[in-house]
Amino acid sequence: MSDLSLRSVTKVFYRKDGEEVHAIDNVSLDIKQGEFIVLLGPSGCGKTTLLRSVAGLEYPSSGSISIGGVDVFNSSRRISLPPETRRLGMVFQSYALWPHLSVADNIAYPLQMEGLRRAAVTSRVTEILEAMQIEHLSKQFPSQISGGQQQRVALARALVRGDSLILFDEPLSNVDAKVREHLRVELLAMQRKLGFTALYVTHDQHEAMGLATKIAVVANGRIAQIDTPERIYRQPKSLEVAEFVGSINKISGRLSSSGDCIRIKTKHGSIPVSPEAVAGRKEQEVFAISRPEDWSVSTETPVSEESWRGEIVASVFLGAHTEYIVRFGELNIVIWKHKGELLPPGQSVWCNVKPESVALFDQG
Amino acid sequence: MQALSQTMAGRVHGIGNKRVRRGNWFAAISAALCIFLAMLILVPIANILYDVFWAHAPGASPFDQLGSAKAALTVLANTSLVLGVAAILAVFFGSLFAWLNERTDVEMSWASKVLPIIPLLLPPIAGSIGWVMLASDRAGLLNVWGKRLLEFMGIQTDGPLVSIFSWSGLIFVYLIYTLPHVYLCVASALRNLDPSLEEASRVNGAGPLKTLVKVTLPAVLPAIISGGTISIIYGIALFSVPAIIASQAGIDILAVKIVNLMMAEFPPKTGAALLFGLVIVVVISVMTWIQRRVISSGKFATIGGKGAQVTLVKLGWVRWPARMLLLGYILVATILPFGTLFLVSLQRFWTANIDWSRLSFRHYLNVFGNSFASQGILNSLTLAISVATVVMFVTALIAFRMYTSRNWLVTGAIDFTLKLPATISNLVIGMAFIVMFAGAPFYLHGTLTILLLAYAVLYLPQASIIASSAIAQVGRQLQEASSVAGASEGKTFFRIMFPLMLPGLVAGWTMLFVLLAGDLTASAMLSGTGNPVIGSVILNLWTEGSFAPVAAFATVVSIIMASVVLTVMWISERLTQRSR
Ligand SMILES: Nc1ncnc2c1ncn2[C@@H]1O[C@H](COP(=O)(O)OP(=O)(O)OP(=O)(O)O)[C@@H](O)[C@H]1O
Ligand SMILES: [Mg+2]
Repeated sequence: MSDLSLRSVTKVFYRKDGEEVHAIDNVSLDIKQGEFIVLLGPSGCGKTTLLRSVAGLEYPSSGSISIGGVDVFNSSRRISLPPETRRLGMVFQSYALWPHLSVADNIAYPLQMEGLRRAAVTSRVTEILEAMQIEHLSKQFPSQISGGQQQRVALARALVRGDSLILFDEPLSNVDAKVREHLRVELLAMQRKLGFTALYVTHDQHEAMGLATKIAVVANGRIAQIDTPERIYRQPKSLEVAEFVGSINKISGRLSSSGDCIRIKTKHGSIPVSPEAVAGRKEQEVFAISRPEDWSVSTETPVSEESWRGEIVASVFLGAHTEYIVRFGELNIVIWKHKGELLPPGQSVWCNVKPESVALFDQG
Repeated sequence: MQALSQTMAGRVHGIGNKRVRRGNWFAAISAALCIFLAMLILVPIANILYDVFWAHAPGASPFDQLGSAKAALTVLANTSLVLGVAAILAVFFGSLFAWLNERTDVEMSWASKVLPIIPLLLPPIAGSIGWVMLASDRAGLLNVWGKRLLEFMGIQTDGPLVSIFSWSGLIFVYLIYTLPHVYLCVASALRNLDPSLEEASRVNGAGPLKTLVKVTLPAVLPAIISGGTISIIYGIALFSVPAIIASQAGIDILAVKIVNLMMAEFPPKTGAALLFGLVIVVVISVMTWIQRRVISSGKFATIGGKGAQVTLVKLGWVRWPARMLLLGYILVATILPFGTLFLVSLQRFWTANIDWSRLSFRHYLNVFGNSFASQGILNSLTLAISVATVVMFVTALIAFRMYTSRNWLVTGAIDFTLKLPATISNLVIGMAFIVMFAGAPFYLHGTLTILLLAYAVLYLPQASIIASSAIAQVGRQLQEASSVAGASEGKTFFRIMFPLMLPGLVAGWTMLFVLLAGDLTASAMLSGTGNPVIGSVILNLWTEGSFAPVAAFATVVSIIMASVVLTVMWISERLTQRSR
């Protein structure tokens, strides 16, 4: 049984000028118990709206949502359970800690609302404070602790009741990079240990890759692809997904095969592709998509005839790798090189890409 | 750690919905409150409209009661002249003061705290009486002492130096009381205006004056206009100032005319009063409409976060004149009239020839020995405390319900109804309450109950504006976090929203308390010998001509008001500092 399931959920907003905005557009989604699903997408694509609909803070225009097999929203059966009855945890982007309650009281609140006895509340709060390593802050008020600590409190409050579904709306976007890294690791450990299902919104790809068992790429209110992080990166189902996740080089050309040798013929040279990528396509116009790290760049005269000759127009040292922008006629290709000496701009170079890392998409 | 994960895992599937079917008493109570308030507002209004326009005796239609059209038009012309000039002056000086305080190095931060609350510190009725004692033709302190000073310097003068019982005198006192409204609007707009707009102008070579004219003024123009409309809205329904000053100056002003038609005529000319009242309704509606248009058309550039640093304009040699101007206003609005009231209250009679050796507190003893006066204070305080508390709490609750509700239609209707009394104006509400409740079947004439109901209705608009801004400041996420955490609406209100709204509500309570305790308009119509309140006691003493006693009474009332206001301000400042 899937723990959370959405069926054709649509949410339409009406702007002041009467324009319709389909913030969520016919989304269906099934999430199993214990999965960590990350909703990844550009700003304004409807991630928050989707999350809020699950929480009951937003009423979808149509569709149905069930949690643990219970219909919490169903437009045709006119069911809509209020948020307080849905029993899920939520971490808000701005923490939403209550400023007039101490850290301990903030965390105790969901338990008190359940009608738990005081002793039980206290012991549970102590447990989670310890687990989150913030027991020394229990008497402080939210305004007296740092952003990272507030984040832990918000996390603790969402987890304390032990709900099976926890929602996260960009919970780490307000803390600095180091703390973010740290909290991400801890969050993952927590999730694996407690086994809750997580629905996590972010527009940070690293965060998404690092956390997700599956990433759902959201675009214009629809789920463009839902898959493991690796497959999202390596085998994007659409140009949209490829373009949003990671950096790509997009080269337009014509697919042609001569014998068992398949190539994309472009104005600047040809690119070899693997038969899997062709996937039954005939001779036609395509986009060849490749990642910067799958290219190699060298100053030596090539051994293979697929190498392209170009000129470096920019080279940027970025620590772990060096980014080159190489020009071939009007085409610029981004290439990441991990080792070797820094090549200066103006240097003429030979470049080629591994055939198995090129993906194809139809043009037009 | 292991134990934790197990206890939690054990709870994972315990999805209970015991809360779903629990009776939603909270929603029921708030709905009942809304309906009760709506009836309390709408029924008397519908009733008076029906009475006056449909059920009148033949030959007694409201237009027949009106008498000569010329007299009626004179009232309207007088009122527009006084209000128009006062509003223009208020807009000018109010904006100037706001700019001085927010954007220049005039460095009088205490003035920016005092200015907006001047009508609360010295209620208009006390201020007006103070100014009469300062500037009436013969016995006004300014006139007598000023003349002596001039004589001493060898200058002879005929007639009074200044006269409060004149057009300019009347306009002057209106100005005192409308200016703070403009100030408040413009100052808060300036505070929210992104200072980088002005800095950009300065960097690009415009001087301070050019920046003011080309950048700052256009940016806060909506606030300036809206300040002007607010001062007209406030001024047109203002009764105390014209009641004290205009009548004696022989200038017929709308608010006084309405009350006289209801109270001084027998039988009351309700129809004519209502026609005049409708003029007020129209003016307020138009002003509100203008204000909405201006605000929604405004392209405000406001700062999102805090901490923006404003580069202050250096005033140079103008600094001292500017300070004198600000100080002068505060003096004229508070200290001068209050000091005069106090001085006169110590005399046997009101005279400018003060016998310093015979000053005494005898009138204070008399006034409070007088059961009518002390009963008035007691009634007013009781009414003000109870109405302010109940109304503030109820509007907070309704504001919360409206905030969480998704039913725009119902929310809009409730909002409209609660704010309706502001448009209808206190004068018309007062009339409607007399017609509805004074006689059969309620017979509430001369009781505290009729005052209580009328006060509650009259101050609902202010209260609900304060409550909605208090809740908007708390923000939606804290409420949503509470719902997600499993709290019912009632729990969310009492445990989260109400405590967080409290600073805003306390400030609102204070304002309501002072307005209620000093209310004159409704009180002039609804209170009699059986249910005196502060306003009616002052009016009575004044019309009797007991000037020194009225000064004593007004002094005590002003001291009570000012101490309440200042105490609460002090407390809430401490509170907000702590919660930051
Ligand atoms: N209350 C609302 N009224 C009207 N339109 C809305 C409302 N809330 C959201 N929208 C619109 O719906 C769309 C999706 O908004 P949403 O907040 O879900 O985006 P998001 O993916 O969370 O973006 P971000 O990453 O910036 O947070 C946007 O176009 C937004 O303008
Ligand atoms: Mg969002």
